[in-house]
Amino acid sequence: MVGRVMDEAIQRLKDIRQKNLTGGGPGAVERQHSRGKMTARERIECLMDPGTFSELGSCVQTTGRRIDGKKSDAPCDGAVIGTGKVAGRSVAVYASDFTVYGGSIGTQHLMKCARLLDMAAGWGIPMVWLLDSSGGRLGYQDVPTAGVDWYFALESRYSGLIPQINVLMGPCIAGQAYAPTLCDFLLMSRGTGNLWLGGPRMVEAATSERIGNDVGGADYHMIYSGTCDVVGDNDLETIKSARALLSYLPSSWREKPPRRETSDDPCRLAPELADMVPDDYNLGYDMHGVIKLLVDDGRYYEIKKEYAKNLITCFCRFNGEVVGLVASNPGEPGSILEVNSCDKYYRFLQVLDAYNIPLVTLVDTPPFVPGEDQEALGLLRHGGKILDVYATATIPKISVVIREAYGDAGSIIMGGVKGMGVDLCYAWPIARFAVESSEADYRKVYGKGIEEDAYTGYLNRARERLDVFEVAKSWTAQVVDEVIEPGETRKKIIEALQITANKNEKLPPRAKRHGTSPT
Amino acid sequence: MGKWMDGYLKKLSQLREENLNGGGEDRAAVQRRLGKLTARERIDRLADPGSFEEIGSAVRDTRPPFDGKSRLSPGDGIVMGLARVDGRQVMLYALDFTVMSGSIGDQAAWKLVDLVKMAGQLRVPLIGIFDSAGERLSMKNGDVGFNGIARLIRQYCLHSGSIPKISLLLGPCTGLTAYLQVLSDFLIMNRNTSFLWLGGRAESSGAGSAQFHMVKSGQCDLIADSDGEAIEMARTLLGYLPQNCWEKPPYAEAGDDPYGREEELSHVLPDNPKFTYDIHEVIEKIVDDGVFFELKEDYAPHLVTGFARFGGRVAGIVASNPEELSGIFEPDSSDKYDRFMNILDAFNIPLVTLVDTTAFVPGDKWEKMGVIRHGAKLLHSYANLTCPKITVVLRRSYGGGNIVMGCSRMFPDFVYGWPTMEFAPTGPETVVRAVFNKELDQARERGNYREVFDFYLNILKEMFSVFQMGKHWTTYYTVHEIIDPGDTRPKIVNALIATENKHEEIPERKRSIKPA
Repeated sequence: MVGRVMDEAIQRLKDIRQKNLTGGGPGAVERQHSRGKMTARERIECLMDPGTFSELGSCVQTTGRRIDGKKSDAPCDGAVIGTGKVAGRSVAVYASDFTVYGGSIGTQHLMKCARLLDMAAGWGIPMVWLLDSSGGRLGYQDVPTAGVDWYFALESRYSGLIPQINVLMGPCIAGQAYAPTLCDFLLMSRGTGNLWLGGPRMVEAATSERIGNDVGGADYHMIYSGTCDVVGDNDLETIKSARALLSYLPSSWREKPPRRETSDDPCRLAPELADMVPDDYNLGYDMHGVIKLLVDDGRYYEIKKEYAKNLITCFCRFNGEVVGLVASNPGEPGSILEVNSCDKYYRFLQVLDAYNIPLVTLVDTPPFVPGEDQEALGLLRHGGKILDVYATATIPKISVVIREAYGDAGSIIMGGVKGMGVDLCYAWPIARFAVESSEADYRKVYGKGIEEDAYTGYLNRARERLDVFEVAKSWTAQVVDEVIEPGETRKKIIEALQITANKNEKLPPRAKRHGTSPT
Repeated sequence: MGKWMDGYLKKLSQLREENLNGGGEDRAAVQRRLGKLTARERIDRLADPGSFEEIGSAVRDTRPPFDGKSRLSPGDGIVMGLARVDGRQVMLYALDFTVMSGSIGDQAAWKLVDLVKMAGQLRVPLIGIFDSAGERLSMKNGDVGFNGIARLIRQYCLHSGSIPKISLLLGPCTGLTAYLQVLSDFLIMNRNTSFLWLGGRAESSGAGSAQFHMVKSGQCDLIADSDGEAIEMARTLLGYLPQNCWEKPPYAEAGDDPYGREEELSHVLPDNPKFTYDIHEVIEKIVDDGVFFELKEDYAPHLVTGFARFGGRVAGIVASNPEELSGIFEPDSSDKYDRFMNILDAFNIPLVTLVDTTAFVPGDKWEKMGVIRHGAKLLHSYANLTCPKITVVLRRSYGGGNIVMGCSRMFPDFVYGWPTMEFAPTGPETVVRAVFNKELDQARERGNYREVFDFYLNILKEMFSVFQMGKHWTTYYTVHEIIDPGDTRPKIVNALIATENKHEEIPERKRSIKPA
């Protein structure tokens, strides 16, 4: 028999939970909706399989005091956290509740988020942030002194241990702005997401600059800063996109990404490929078309779609197995080897190696090396970053040279030569190669003492264009393992993935978990 | 000795002589006219006398001449081997510009692959001296050059962070070979003769020069006025580095008293907190014998990086410099700091940060450059360091600048602060305007704006002072101890002694995913 004390206590719990449902109150919820935003709990429902969300810390309240002494009330301290399932797999979720003081971060709020990340890493399950927060809850006695475990450090130390995905659907300013950038992926909602180091008011206060409305939006960070990975039109679409992204990732670094059965025949030929790629080397084409014909069911999930478009990075499946695909896109102007495309590739490649996802590269590098603007930005060190990750990545690495592969224009980072550690390199019959594509004669800029006939003589060796049969003729060249027909590319990639599935490569030892790669 | 052996010995000495002549006297004359030393002269200057043991000296370009014209190719243009520098074993190599303009050939590339591999296995530093017009690599008719350079690049990466790698670029270096410069931990360039370039069009007159890569691209660490100076710099630099990632950098007795107080430190900061000062003044007063070996001096000078000793122990110093742009952080200084701190950690060199910064700059221009992800890169790297980390805050420690320079929750070992220190998310005036805008608007209507503004400002200023923040042990805005500026050096020396056997494990995983 339940006594009165128990009854009252249970009622108290129910009351708290009931009150939590409306966060900062019906008025605040209405305002949230009128801005085109979902509430924290609606977002969680949208992310999780129905009925699987299990809340933690629902009785948490603010412990902060305003510096002017006024009392405050903050259900859950503005942070709804817990676990649930996404496509049947456990995931930890944190959602900031914008209806509670603008989703601002009080001491308890911060600790909920930080501890959840700690726990998720311990349990080996992904952590998803549904972020919509005005930042630190300034004007309170305790906030500048908040936080036993500030979560930047945790995000950094758990980076590569469990997938960390951030869905930004509100403002994210100042110190808080680092939180999404430290995650593996940042998805932003076009209508509502904003990421600034300083918002308009703060920028004006600090530097007198008036920034435009577009600054800090989803498209801005997609197109210009390269900070955003995926843009959704609204909260619903962005969260659904996060669900899709999770399907390509394992729960932790100890696992492989989940397999998905497919009805797409692994031996399917695609003879259309031969028509899609022009055999006139001066003509461009959209590599997306090639990708669609190669992957399972023509489906791929593109990352940083609008940033450095001369290089495509996407997740896809081959015969049900997840693959990270990196391809040069001759449909876009310029070489793949630019500072921005390097940064894009660098991030993606780290993710693949961290989470045991094989890399497939489609190589078609135009015979062009960027000039002074890019050199001034440190093109070499940006390329060097990829060389470092590519050389030390122990995942299966498969490449297909479609048309052109030139070392200095980027084929060296695309699996265009065996010495860099590619497992299998296939090439189409129209492929052609050279060590260097650059025609630059350094006597013009450097001059000093280079032999007169250097460019007509010995240096030309590196610039000589060779067709694939000349290259494939010598095994010691170690460039092409097999020349394949365009139509059988899918079949060969699937074969290669099966062959390399149990690859186990050991790197030379070092004392720390990182090297000294260029930055 | 018999005649039979004599014949062979003669052959060997002819080979040696041929090697010493490189590409011939004409080419050596060209080299001298350009103010450059030859490959062997460079090695002689760098290696301890008599310590250089050459390997691969019989190697030649074995391919038939490209244009029917045969050229001298001793070593296939590479002089390489084992040597000692200041008594320490190293592997070194020099590209010989007198041999076909120092271009890398097939055999040369493969010689270097094995040298790098040996250096990695023998766990000794690798020093490369470059002076090369490009590549004569091929993949035709059984040629192995392209794969050779790819293997060479990969070897550099595989041994990244296990052995120190120093590059001296004392002439041109282009194409794929240019990557070896940035894959090395340190790059020293000659002001007059260096040219580093991947391969596109160069337009301006200084493009590719030492100055270009120091100021603009951020790829050059040190600029020397001559080959001799560059070699001296390499020697000095090596003095700050251990043999490999399992050892510690060499100890060297200080010439002055590491426990002496430095009264002048109390007078460095200007009375008006809005005024600037040069952080070098502070650094010189806290390091052994006032010797600071600065790197990337003219790249993002608002953040100073370099080596020094404290009581004989090597440390890497990272200091914001209020004299330049008020010591802000932005993408360039982030890149500078990121590379340096990862090198320090890899080679067990403690990091000492000196903090006086108004943090990362906001605004459209910087956002477009990805200032946030560059800040995140520093957070990521700093949080993952396990070398000793000592933070000294001098004055302003605002926002993200505070965190990336080693605030309490980013796992530094010691956080010391001068009494003048202020911790804040951003300047206190900005906080008042941003948070209490409603109250201020009302006050403006009532006519007591100034009074209300000052009311909030005073509360915040008091809150942000170290004497207030110091009360909270659990916060990330705090110190372990407030110190008298005059005691800064002994505090750092003691912290380095205390952390000498530090061992910290970070969570196991395959690799972390660093922001770009």
